[in-house]
Amino acid sequence: MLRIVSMIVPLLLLAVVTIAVTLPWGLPDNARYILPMLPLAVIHYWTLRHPGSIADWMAFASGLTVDLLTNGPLGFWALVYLLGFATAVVARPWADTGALGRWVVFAFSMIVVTIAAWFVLSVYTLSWPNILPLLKAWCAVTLGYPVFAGVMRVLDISRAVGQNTRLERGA
Amino acid sequence: MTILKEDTLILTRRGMRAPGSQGIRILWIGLVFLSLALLVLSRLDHSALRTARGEVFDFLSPVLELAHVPLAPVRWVSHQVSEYFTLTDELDQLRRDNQRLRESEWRVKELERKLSDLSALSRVVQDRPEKTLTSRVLANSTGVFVRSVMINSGLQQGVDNGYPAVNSGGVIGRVVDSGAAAARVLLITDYNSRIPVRIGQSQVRALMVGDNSDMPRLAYIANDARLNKGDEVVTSGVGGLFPRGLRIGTLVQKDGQLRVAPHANLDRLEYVRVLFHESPSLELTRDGKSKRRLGPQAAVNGGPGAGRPPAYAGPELR
Repeated sequence: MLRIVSMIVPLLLLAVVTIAVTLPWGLPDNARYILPMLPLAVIHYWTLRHPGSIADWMAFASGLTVDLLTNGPLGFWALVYLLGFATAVVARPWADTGALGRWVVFAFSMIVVTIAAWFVLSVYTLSWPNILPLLKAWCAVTLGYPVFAGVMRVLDISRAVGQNTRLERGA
Repeated sequence: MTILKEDTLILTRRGMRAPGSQGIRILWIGLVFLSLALLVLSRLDHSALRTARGEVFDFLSPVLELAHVPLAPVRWVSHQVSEYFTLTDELDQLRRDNQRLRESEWRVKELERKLSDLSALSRVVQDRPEKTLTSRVLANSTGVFVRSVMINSGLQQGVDNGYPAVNSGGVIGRVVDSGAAAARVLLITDYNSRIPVRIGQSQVRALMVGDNSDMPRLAYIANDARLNKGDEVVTSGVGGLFPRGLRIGTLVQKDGQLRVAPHANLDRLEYVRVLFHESPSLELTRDGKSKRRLGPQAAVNGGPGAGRPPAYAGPELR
């Protein structure tokens, strides 16, 4: 039962955050990138801590939903979330470096994704758009990540199950 | 034997991996290509994507409605906090406005009386009162691409493409995509927004052009036009898409360009009012798809077409 719940939680959390970021929260114009970057924190956390709990197609579906509901070009956030997924997969060897280490890994992954997003944006618009709003969003999401990770840690049932597993020689 | 622990699974053999953790898969590469293909199609503005978007809007609108339940208290708190900080400034502004309005009140009454007399003398055709529908904002767009909001009314409620949308501040945009139960309103700040306007007391005509910034710029202003900072900008009614005289904002100068500071706070839209403004030029902007999809149903449901034949009833109806 716990295994099933632990499989559903990341998917449900990603779905909730995906819908939430498209709602009108009344953020000022220059903070418009912050919300769509939040699902990246979910994707990163679960992919890093529990490989396989969020699949690549889930990241794609989440991004596509954001694209559809925000009327942006289809495929933009889908591509960005897939890149976020890939950076988390690549960063797996550093998953056990402690809370601070994981924060640094997240910050580094997100800056790679942010620059990639800006590049995609430039190619799409055939211009050099201002990167500052994206960097602001990166700052906000990175600074907020410990809080976000804390919330997800509470919901992380499989972590609790893992903690209770006692490994013994010959078991 | 090497015993590895990955997540909650015990991996007993070297090279064994947890299911679904095989790194970057072929599927990932396929999805990246799919994303890129969708981006190219979006860039080309493929009609199939627009149709799909409309279908998804309709499908997800109940979910978004539900998601608004927890959002309401959050917005209320945020509104209270921001009001608390701006209350003092607003109070001073209101006192000044009140003083100014009292001074001009008698003059307005006098002018109203004169206008009524003159209208009666010259038998002026009165403007028809517009039917309106208040709708809630379900979702808003983000990023540099589009400035639009999704509202919880569509063809079933009689909301069709081209109808202007306003709120207490003034014009916010117009409906550009209407599904059965949801519609998309293109904001006046969007890159694709073009609205003919009049500026100030001298009634200078111009075109308000959105450029995805907070303040749309003004184009096609006569060189000898006499304008003042703070002049009121209203819709001119030219072209027929918008009724004449709807408030939009005030004239400002920013980076050497004339721009309009909208009265409506477009970042905090909660409710919008759709004006059922019918005009012959609207028919030119519609592709016929919207009304054809629902046909007479929109009229039955009490939309603006209620009581008269649907605009697109004809042989092409299926």
